[in-house]
Order: sequence, then structure tokens, then C-alpha cells
Amino acid sequence: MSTFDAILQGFSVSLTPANLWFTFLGCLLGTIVGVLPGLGPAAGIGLLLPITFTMDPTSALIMMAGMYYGAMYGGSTTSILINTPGEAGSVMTALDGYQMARNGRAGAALAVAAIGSFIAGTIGIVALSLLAVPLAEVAIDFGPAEYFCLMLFAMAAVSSLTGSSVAKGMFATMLGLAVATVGVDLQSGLARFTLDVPQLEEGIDFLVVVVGLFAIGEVLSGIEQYLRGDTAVLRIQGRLWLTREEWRRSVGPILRGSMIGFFKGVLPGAGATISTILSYVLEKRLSKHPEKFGTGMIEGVAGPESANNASTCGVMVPLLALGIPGSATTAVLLGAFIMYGIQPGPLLFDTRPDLVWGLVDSMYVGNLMLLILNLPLVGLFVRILYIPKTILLPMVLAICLIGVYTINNSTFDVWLALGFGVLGYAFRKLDIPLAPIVLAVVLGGTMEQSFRRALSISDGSPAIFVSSGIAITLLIAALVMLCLPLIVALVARMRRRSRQAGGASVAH
Amino acid sequence: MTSRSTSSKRRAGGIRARMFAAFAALALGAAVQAQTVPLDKPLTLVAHTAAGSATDLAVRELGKALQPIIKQPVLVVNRPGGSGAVQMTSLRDGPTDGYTLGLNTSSHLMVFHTAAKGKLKRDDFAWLAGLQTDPFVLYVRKDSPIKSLQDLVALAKQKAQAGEKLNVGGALPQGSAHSIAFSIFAREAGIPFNWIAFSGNGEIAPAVLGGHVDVGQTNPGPLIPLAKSGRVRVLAVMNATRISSYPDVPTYAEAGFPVDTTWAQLRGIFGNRNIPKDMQDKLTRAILLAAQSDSWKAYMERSSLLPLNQDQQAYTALLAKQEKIGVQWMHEIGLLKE
Repeated sequence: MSTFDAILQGFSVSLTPANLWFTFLGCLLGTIVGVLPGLGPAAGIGLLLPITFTMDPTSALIMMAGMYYGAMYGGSTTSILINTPGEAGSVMTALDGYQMARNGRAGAALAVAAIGSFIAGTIGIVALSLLAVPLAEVAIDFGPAEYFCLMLFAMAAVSSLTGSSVAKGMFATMLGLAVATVGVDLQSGLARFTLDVPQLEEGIDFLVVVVGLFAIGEVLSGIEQYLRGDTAVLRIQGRLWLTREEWRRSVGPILRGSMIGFFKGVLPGAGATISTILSYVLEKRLSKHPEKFGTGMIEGVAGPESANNASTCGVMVPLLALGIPGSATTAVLLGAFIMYGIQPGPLLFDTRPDLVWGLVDSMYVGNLMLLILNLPLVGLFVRILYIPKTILLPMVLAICLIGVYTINNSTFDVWLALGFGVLGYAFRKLDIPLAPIVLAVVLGGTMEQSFRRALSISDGSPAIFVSSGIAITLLIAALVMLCLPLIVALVARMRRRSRQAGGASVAH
Repeated sequence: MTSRSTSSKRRAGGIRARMFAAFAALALGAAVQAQTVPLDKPLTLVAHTAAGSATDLAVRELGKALQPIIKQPVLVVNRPGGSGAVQMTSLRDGPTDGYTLGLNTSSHLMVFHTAAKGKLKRDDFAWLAGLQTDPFVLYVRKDSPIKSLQDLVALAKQKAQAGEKLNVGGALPQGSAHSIAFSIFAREAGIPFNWIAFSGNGEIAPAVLGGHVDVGQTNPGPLIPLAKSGRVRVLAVMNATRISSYPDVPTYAEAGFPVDTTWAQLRGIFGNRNIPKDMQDKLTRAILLAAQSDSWKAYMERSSLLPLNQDQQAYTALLAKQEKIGVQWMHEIGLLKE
């Protein structure tokens, strides 16, 4: 049976009324999980597991997968409207999405997030259908040394997000790296910077940092504005839908974001978050107006939102083809496979084509459902912006704190998030960029662990970092990423000198 | 006595087979009580890991199996942090009526000497029942020249002569239950090694398949997909006997390395030591009954876990023995000093 026939066969499974219902239910639950900061898809699926045991395995897995990619849709809504990323993969969306909302383009931002996610999801599924088995074989060529080089490349890419001042950007990055070192070190087993607090032993959860810096910091800024008498409510400017101009600018980012998302997803451990970072940085680099990123550029929403959805298809590759989970969520999904007595791996494509293709095809259907579900809701969601600040701000704060509490059922995390909130507010005042902190927290842990694993394997010889073609390529790419801004800045300075223009400072 | 009246009430309207069972049970008196251990209010089980983990799954499966026995709902609460320190603190400082219990692993014992040193100790708790053993297995990729544990040791010795060490991919840091297990084997075989710590088999497996480490160590359950699809060769299982999910895989002793197999990842149920003694007994009985239920046994089989089913006395003794071995290794690895 050819792959094409198999895909068609899969639709006979995924289009049964029962499975359509479970796809819908999964997408709906996923959207909810995505909207709530703290409760992520991994925990959501974990909670669902014991309930689904009596279900047909295919239906159960269809529902769980729906929850996974549904969460990626849901996360963007709160990022855009209230600057609260509901999901790690939605952090980058907040940077320009929220600014778009402030510029009165919330409807367009939500619409492009939904459309981008749909297109990316579809591209990702096609790639998953055609490339799953061969790609999984490439993924295992990435050892600790290659992962370190990949992280270095991502860090180098992030360096372009430093904002107006290199020094402030460096400070933010260092702070993020420092936060990433808190907890029991995975290699030595020694506790670092835990101050004898047991809650710090397992490190500071990434979401605590994000919710604190972004959302709670935003609430504090909002309170300040209110106290100053600024009670202006954001107004939607122009039509709710995308303008022709916005649509034209989004197509490229959506397509590039889909590619990045899918291939990063294939690599175990690299995951959705890094793909959104790379997509954002790429769009910024390609843009004619990189300085406008962070002020509400639709490219900065379209790219990352597409990347995070495509990556959910990418991570299915090692899961289905090898039985290797590439993320926390797929680790729980693997648990579900084992629970049903199904062994993922190359054989699964032969032994249970109904399950594999039923699942894959349900993702086509689910993506369409999410688009239909989300687009009409854009009009409803943007009304959140019309809520007076005296009601909206306490609501946002409450959602944030509940979300943070649910990560570990710990009040300690709530205090920590509030602390990061105050820090986020202060950094806004001092014009210290927040994104590098968050990204360093995400990348720092993996980068350090990969580095040390690699050196353990080589008995301390740094030659391991140039021992493979993949590693060397990534190192060169990182170097280019690092040098590029210097060259660009140099060129710009020379131009400025020749022009002798002055006075135009960067507006906030 | 309440147990007898409720169970006979339920059976009164049953079909003939049920009647017969009731009579038979009446005749056996004690056996009737063994069917259920009714409790007065809902029971809370506290997991020390996040929802979706192997330990969380064990708690939820136990909860499912316990409900019909205690005739009360079971609530599962996740309290991660400090490798169990957060969960244990909440249990020690919580109510002592026996309606809040936790699931423990072997790693809990090490926390008394590391994260919670001087704050928590084994005697703060009643170790009610041992439920399961999760042994360790060693594996290589299918096309590796290493076919047996003997081959692995030969490679390690050959590397040692060249001034290199065997690279072992395993879960969690030096001093974890996983790393101690390999240390026990390496001592027996007389080989040096590098412990390359990963967060779990999801990270270990790609490193083994890609040839980035020489050998991987994990638990049998997570390895099933790769073993069944023939992508990896399982060299040996660290257990006293072979295990049913890997019938062709020899034990370490069969492969020529008779190590002490007391060291395995254990899971059981514990609570505050001030729970009244008769309540403790009741709980132990209920938990061991749940471990005999069909749903629990099916879960154990699926996940390649071995039944432990020890009562309070046996489980407490086993944990004491484990703690001693663990502390000794923590000293040798250099994580404990005194």
C-alpha cells in the first residue's frame, strides 16, 4: 500500500462521527489549556490519561493530539490581548502581538495567528505524512555536541533581540542564564543557588518567569497608568479582519515559520519554543524595518505562531517513527501509547496503519476545526480590550496567579512570580528588554547540559564540538549571526555620519 | 463489622453466583473483611512529581484501584519540588487522621541526607506498603558490536587501557538511584565509566541510537517500543530473576556479574507516623488489596513493573536496607561528606 493510499485510508478512521467528536473535544480542551497560563498541554493530557483508558486507543490518541495542537492556538489569544503568554510557545507572539493590540489591530493579530497556525499545521502534517521515517533517522545524528552548537546558534540569534542598548541586552541575557542555573545540577547532583529552599531544587519554572515578567509586570504598568489618570480604553482601528497590506506581509513569515517549526520539532528537545524564537529573529533579519519589531509588526506574530503549530507536527516524527518523545507533552503521549499496549516505531506504520494515519489525518481535520472555531471568536475576544481597566487588571492578575499556582500547586511559585512581576515593571522603567531574559532561561539549561555532556563524553577534549559536519555548520552559522549586527551597525554608523542627520530618537 | 453489613447488603439482591459467593464468604469470616476496607471520608494521595510522570501514573492507578475497596473517592494531588522534600514536608506537617498519604520512591530516602538533611528523617513517617519494583536494564543499539554484558566490560577495559572511559547514558545526576545502580555493576566488573546524565529515556535513547554514548541504562517500561521494534539490544536486567516483558534478557548474575539486586527503584505508600496504629493497619490492608485488583495488575503488566506487595513491616525493613546502601554510595561518589 502506498503512502497516498494509506493517507486516504486514514480519513475513513478520522472522519467517523465518534472520532470527529473526539477531535473537536481535544481541540476545545486544548484551547482552554492554552489560554490558561501554567496549565500546559503536558499536564492537561496527563490529567486526561486515566479517564481515557476505557476508550478506543485511536480515539483517545486523536483527542490527546487535538489537545496538544489546540493549546498552541489558545496560547496566542492571551499573548495578544493581555500580554500573558498562556504557553511557552506563545512568548514571542506577545512581543509584537500585544503591541498590535495596543495599536488597535488586535483583530488582525488574532486572525493572522489563527490563519498562520492553520496553514502551518497543514504544511506540517503533509511533511509528517511524507517524511516521518527518513527524518527520524537524521534526528538521532544530533548528539550532545550538536545540541550545544544548535543552542549556541539560537543564543547568537537571540542576541539581535537586545533592543536599543547592547549593555542592557547583555545584562538581561546574563540574568536569564543565571536564573537557568538555579536548582540541582543534572550532571553533578549538587544544588546550586537554592538557598536551602526545597521548592528551588527543581529549578525555577520557565512559566513563572514569563508570567511574572510579562503579565504581572504589565498589570503593574497598567495600575500606574490608571493612577496617573490615564483610563483610555484601547480602540479597534479600522476593520477587524486583516487588511490586504497585512495579509501580503504575513504570507512569507507564515511559510518560513512553518518550515522552521517543523524541522525544529523533529529534533528531540529542541521543541516549539526555540522554533518560535528562530522564526521571530529570521523575520526581523529579513525585514526592511527591523527597528520596528516590538512595536506591533504583523510579521512578528505570523512567523512564531506558524512555527509553534508546525512544530507540534514535527515532534510527532520521532514519537511515531522511533518511539522517542521530543518534548514534555510527547513524553506523556508516549506513556499513553504504552498504556494502550501500542509500540511506536517504524513497525507501527506497518502494523497499525489505521492508528497512525487515523491520527495524522485527524490533525488535518482538527486544524480546520480550530480555524472555524477561532475565526468567529476573534470578534468576541477583542471585546476583552473594552473591559475597563479597573476590572480587567485584577482579572488578569487573578488568572496569572491561579495559572502559576497550578504548575506545582505551590504558593512559593506565586510569590516568585510576583517578584518577577515587580522586576518586570522595574525593567520596563529602565528600558531593559524582557525577551532576552526569558529566552536565556529557556535555552540556558539545555545549552549548559549539552556542553557538559559533550565534554564528559570526550573526556574533556573540546575537539568534540568540531567533530561532525552538523556541529561545524551550526558553529559557523552562530558566528555569522553574532557578527552580522556588528557589521550592520558599522555600516549604519558610516551612513549616519555621511548623512549628518540627528534628533530622531527611537520612540517607545 | 461495617464491612460485613455493607458487603452483605450489596450481595443480597445479587444473582445466584453472588449468593453462593456470599455464603462461602460468610463461612470464611475473615475473607469477607478482606474484600473491602471501608473508610469514613475521601482519601487524598499526594504525588511528588508533576501530572503525567511515571510516578503520577502509579498514584492515579492506585487511586482507581482503591476506590471500590475503601468505598470512598480518591483525590490525587501533585506536590513536586525538592525530589519529594515538598511532598514529605506537607505530609509530616499535615493531618494525622490517615486520610492524606503519599507515594514514595527510593529517591525519597536520599532526600533525608541531601535536600532535607536535618529537617526530615525516615522515622517521621509510617511506610505503609511496598507496591512495585522498577528494575534497571542496560541497552545498546542494534548494530553495536556489543552483544552481551561481557562484551561491554571488554570494551570498557579496552577503553581504560587507551586512557578513556566507557560513556554511560543514564537518567538523573550522579547519586541518583539510576547512577548508583550502574556504580554497583561497575564495581563488580571493575571498570571505570563516565556517567552522562540525561533527564529521562526520551533523551537517552537518541544518544544511544546515534552512537553518542556506548550504552544506555533505563527502566524496562519506557524501553518497550524500541526493544519490540528491534532498534536496540537489551543486554541484561538488574533483578534477581528474569522479567516477563523481556523473557530472553539475562539477569546480571546470569550474564556473569552477581551483583546485589536489592538496589532497584521501589514505589510504595507512606504517611505521617502519628496516624493511629489501627488506621495504619487498615490502610496497609486496603492498599495491598488494591494491588490484587485486576486494573492494577493490568497496569503493572503494561508498564513492565514488578509487584512488590510488602506490608508495613517488610517494606520498612527493605527501605532501611536501601537507605544504607544508598548512603554508602553517596559517600563513595563524594556527594556526602562527614
